Amino acid sequence: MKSKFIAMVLTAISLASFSLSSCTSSTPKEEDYYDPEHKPFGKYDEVVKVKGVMEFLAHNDSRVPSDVTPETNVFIKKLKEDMNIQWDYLWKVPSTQYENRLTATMLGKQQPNILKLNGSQYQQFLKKGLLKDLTETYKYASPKTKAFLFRDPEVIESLKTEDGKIYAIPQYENIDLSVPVMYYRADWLKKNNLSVPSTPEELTNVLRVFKEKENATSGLGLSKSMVGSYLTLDRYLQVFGANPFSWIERDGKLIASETTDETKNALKYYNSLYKEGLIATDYAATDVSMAETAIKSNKTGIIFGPWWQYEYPLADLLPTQDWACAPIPLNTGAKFIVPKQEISAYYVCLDNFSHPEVLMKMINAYIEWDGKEGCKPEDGYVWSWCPTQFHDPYEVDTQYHQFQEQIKIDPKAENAAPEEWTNHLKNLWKVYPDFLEWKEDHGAVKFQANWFANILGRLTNEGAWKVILDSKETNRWIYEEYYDLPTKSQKLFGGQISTHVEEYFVKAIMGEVNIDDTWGSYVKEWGSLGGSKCETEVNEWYTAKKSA
Amino acid sequence: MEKETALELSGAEQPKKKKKLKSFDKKNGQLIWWLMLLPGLIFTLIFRYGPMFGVIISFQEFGLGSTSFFGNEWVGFDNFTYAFQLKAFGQSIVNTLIIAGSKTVLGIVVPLILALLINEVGSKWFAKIVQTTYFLPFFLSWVILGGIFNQMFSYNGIINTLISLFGQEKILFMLDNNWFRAIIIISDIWKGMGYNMIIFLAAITGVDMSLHEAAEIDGANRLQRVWHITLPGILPTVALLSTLAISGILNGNFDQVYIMYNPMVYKGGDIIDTFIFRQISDNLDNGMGVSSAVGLMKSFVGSILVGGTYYFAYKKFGYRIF
Repeated sequence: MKSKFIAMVLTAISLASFSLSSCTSSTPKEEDYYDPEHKPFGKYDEVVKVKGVMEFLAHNDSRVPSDVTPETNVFIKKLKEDMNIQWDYLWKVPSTQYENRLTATMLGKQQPNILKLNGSQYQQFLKKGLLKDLTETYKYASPKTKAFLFRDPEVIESLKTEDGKIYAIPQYENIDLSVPVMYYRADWLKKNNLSVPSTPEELTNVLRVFKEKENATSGLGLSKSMVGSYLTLDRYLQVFGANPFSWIERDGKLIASETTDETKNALKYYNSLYKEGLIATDYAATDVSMAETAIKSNKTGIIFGPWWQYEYPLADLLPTQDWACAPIPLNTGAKFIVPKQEISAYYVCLDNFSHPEVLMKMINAYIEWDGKEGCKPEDGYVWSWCPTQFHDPYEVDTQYHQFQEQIKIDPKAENAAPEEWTNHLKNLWKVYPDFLEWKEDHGAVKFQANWFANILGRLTNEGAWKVILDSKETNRWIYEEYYDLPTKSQKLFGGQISTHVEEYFVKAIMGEVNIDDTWGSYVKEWGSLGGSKCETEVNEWYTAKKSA
Repeated sequence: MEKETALELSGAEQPKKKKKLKSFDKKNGQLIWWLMLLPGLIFTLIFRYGPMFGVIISFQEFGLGSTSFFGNEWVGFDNFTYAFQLKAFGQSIVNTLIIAGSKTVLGIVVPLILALLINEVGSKWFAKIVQTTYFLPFFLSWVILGGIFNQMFSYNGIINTLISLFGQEKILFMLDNNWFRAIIIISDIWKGMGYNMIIFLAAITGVDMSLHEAAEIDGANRLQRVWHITLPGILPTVALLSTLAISGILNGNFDQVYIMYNPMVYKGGDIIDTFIFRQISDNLDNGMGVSSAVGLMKSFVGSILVGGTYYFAYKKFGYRIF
């Protein structure tokens, strides 16, 4: 009993010290180390040279001195000064050339040591045995890094190979971020005395009024892309519980969403909207920028998108267009589908590298230094040029809850923000009084597009993040059940399957094919193009997963 | 004789140089010319023939992370088989032949007509303005032009606005397979016509003016002079450009089609390059192998066509390009 009590006290102390250290320390101390033997910020006695490559994208931060280059970025300088890590770029190319250049580089003698890969790239490197085992490297994680990495322990677990080794440090995302949100013109809704649509029927009615009274000829904002970051068809299909290229469980078996009756009904619904002119007549030839133009020119009244749509493309429109958000409408009994796991980047070391712990130390450094004194844009710090960018997957959620707690105490943000907040949140807190004033009277203060959009999207109770939390609370979604890397058949036939699906969906919505007459042959062809093989492999994985 | 003429033109140092050059005069006096050709030859060997070695990846499972040209699995003709068994690959070949074939033919005919017309314009400043105007689009990238054409031919774009002004039904240009093909072909011709036109104009200036003067004295009108003097005079240039253009019969212009197409026009507008791009992007382990195999196939067909055209020109007209 006594020993149990002591254990509890020790656990409580260690937890308290951990949370305190992760919140307050700006300069890491010896006791912060996750494992005292492995120093997360330890300086090497001799210079460790690391070679990397860069997918270059120019920054647009006017605060950064003009002479700063990726090589002179403060982060790179600090690595050398504080940790004796000398980072050199083998090359820097735009994203369009990245994969070709990397392929060519791998054929030469000068190979990089550390890389940031996407899922399929990681899979190819792993298959060819080019990656260094990073299992031990995890011991170098700082408390903050560890907290970020293990907020969802299943992700790390899913990376383990059969022999229990881990070959990557994953930057994963909170899956709530992929929940779709409906944004609508609240001014039009109010003007026409309408309520927020929550079913497909109500959505149709609202769009009809928007078309009739507001001349919204592209009532529902949609581009030709099936999947993508925004204004894509996949989020609209979710109204009926359909999400193409995801796998859902039905009677113990995984089936492809693009072949379900829910998808068929969704296509029929959007075909009916198209016939009524509630979607742009040439939506299938409309790229994202054209769809954005329709929004800007008051031709669109409703869009479905990710949580950050306030920040883009709505931010600049807010002074003249009143956009509000709500959960997407759902058909009776339908639930939308979200991924179970989402890894946006895999940080890896190539087998040629004798100091793989450098990778974890650089991640520690990024998390620790980002935005702190000496690492601000005006100091010559460009976060997007840091080779090991890493963020808390639950950052937005944390910001929302911290803000909401504080606002209860200080509703008008009259006092300074709590010290433990991130710089970004502190800045938003500073702007919040202006935001409140602007909400009352648009002419009262200068409109600060980015800051106000951030507040709307992330922090307030009428914002997008709150909508997602409400959707979660009301159990409005189900998870995609397949979340491993692509199977052999998916790799071989994925291209032609997605072409087939895209082509059919567009033709179905535009009425080029009769959905009832052709649905059977569409599904049959999906199977013959490789879909059936994919289904078999995915189910084999699922069965093994369940039995494990 | 030729060499002497060249030396005469070189001025005061002539005797000394002549002596120096004599030392090269080993094999019919041509050594110096061969030496002058050497840098170009070396450049071609290194940068044109050298990379051809890379075609071996067409026969390998080659992709991101391959660390050598020899350590990969040899898959024979699997990459070719994979491409050909894909549904709609055949259709993409047909589309490419139609689109690129039309571009090849019109890409010669239109600039030729323009060059002949501009050459006949009396006002030189006007000719220069027209010439420059036609040439300008050549410098614009398809990323910009694709967006402009998409907007112009959209349902509410300028073309449809004009159509509706005349009381006609609007047309879904970019969603109709036939219209899409036509737009792809015409816009590419429009973009590139200035380039070939300049070459033809340069060739026209090389036509002997005394022939025109003689024909004029004999009573030939402008059209007759164009037909009987200018055109035959620039025929070698036309033949050369046509032969070179034939090699691109399987190149439909990826950038242009990729920016302008959409799933509704896959049937009529999907060319080999865009089709293969969709199949291999993202996931395929040996994506490089497959794309290389398709590229090799295209080059092979192009080479045969160039050879065939060359042979045809030689047999039919006795004309040798090379």
